[in-house]
Amino acid sequence: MVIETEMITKYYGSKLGCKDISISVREGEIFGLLGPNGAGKSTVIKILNGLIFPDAGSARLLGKPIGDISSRYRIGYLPEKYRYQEWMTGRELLSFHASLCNLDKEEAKHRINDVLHLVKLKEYEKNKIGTYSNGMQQRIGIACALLSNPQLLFFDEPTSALDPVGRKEIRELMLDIKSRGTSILLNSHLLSEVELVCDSIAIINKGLIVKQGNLENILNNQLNLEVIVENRNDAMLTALSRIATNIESNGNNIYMKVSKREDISEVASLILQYGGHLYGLSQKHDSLENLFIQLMEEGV
Amino acid sequence: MLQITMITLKEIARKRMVLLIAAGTIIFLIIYGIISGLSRSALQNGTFFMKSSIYISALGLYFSYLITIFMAIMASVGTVSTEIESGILYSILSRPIKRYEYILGKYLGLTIMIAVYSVFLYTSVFLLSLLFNASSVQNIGFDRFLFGMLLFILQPIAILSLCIYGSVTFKTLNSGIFAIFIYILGLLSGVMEQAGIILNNNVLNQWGIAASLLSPFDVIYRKIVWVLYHGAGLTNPIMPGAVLTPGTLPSNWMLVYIAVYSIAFLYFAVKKFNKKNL
Repeated sequence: MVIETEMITKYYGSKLGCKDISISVREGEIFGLLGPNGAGKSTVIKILNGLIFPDAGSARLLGKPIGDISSRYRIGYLPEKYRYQEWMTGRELLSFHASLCNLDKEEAKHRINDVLHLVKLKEYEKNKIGTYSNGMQQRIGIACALLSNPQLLFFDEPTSALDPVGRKEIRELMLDIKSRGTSILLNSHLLSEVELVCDSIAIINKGLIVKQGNLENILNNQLNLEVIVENRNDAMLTALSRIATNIESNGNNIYMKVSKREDISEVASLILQYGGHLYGLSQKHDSLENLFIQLMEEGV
Repeated sequence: MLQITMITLKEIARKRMVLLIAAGTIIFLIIYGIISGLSRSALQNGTFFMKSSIYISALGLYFSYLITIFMAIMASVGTVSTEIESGILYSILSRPIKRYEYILGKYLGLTIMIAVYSVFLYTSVFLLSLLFNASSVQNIGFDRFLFGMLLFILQPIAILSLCIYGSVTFKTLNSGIFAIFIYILGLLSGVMEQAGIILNNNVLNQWGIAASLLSPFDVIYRKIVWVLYHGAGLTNPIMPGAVLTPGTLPSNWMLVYIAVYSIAFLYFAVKKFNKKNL
């Protein structure tokens, strides 16, 4: 595991930041941390980067306890509040961070050129950061995070200031980084983005993890069915309620959730058994957005 | 740590404040040169007492002293707090750098800048006085000149420790208020101590000493004046009636106290920053 946290808890005075956060991120995995504003996602990321101290719990990054300096050579971090010295040029900023990472001159030069190309800022390298647009500042932040060729990356809202094309590029970049074995802890509000790149997720609400696991398993945990049936009756719906949940009907259409694949054929059998005429049965995956909204509405 | 020192020096060099202070320094030196020149002509004409030369050079030194204090406070009150407030610090402290290295690196960078500036200003004031044959400086030997210079540098470095502590503890504005308040307390402590001597009021004198322990900056100036012009009966220009006596002359132990004071504030700044949630 590249990240292992155990029951991390943080209070800001009497206000809860996060509580009992236990997550595990595997090598080469993109792990998404989701939640509404103020849910505690950034608190978790800041604790892992040694910027704030937990009141309870522990964590290990790349096998070392948080705060261990030696592991930071192999970690990159793009903060949510990405601000850099505005009086520096893009290249100067990267040189400064290269020196903090103890990269030797030749390696630093090589890496700086690489990351500037990656984030498409090569032609602006001599411009002062103060003249960069918001999106460009976010890109130089990503370049900074990638500079030391890290084994573990923390991206806190990496595309919040980017246009759709820029977002797509960063998504592709994340998948490329992942393919090279680097792990990413991604904190994002953009659920569609998370759905496209993450292998595992943890959803945080009011400082607590309300759901976590493999993204595919979470989304396929409940199968959404849409059935088109004529001659619907109450006895049929009662029978369906024994194997399905969230049953809603609209005209000839019945929507429901079942928990396993075998239930799909059982639904068809019950409809026919109770005299219904089955004209259609289709399976729909739950979207992350639906799941997220459902969890937030349940107020778990 | 050295990377932080280098970046601090570069940052200071690129700040507009440096241009303003450079312009202010040149204007101050020109004015001081004019006053010294006029005083020389006046002395040749026998219009003023010889002692006025000492007052003028001491006043020049006092204003130089205030300028270095102003520069030390302006350069350092926001040195940590602005980086916390802006978020710049997040990307730096997530690098393989210890928090104490960051604070010490900043302190070293600011110290180098302020020390260089203090040496320049102190030497310039002296050279101008020499240029105009001010009798006040002609008899000062190199050893006293050098000791005076070390004391002149000590003061902004001591206030720097205080400002760094303030910058770690408070937001930028509050940190500035904190530093200025402590410095003014130091000025008042000098006045209280000397007023206590003049009025033969022991309570006032004791309160002045207590305030000096909290803010020992005026003490350093009194020591410089003593080192450079002892015997001339001079002290703080904001209280020219008060004369330095063995009772108000800061002892060498006070200088040791100031060194410990500076180290202690730096230590508390590091300690506080080590536990600070950013």
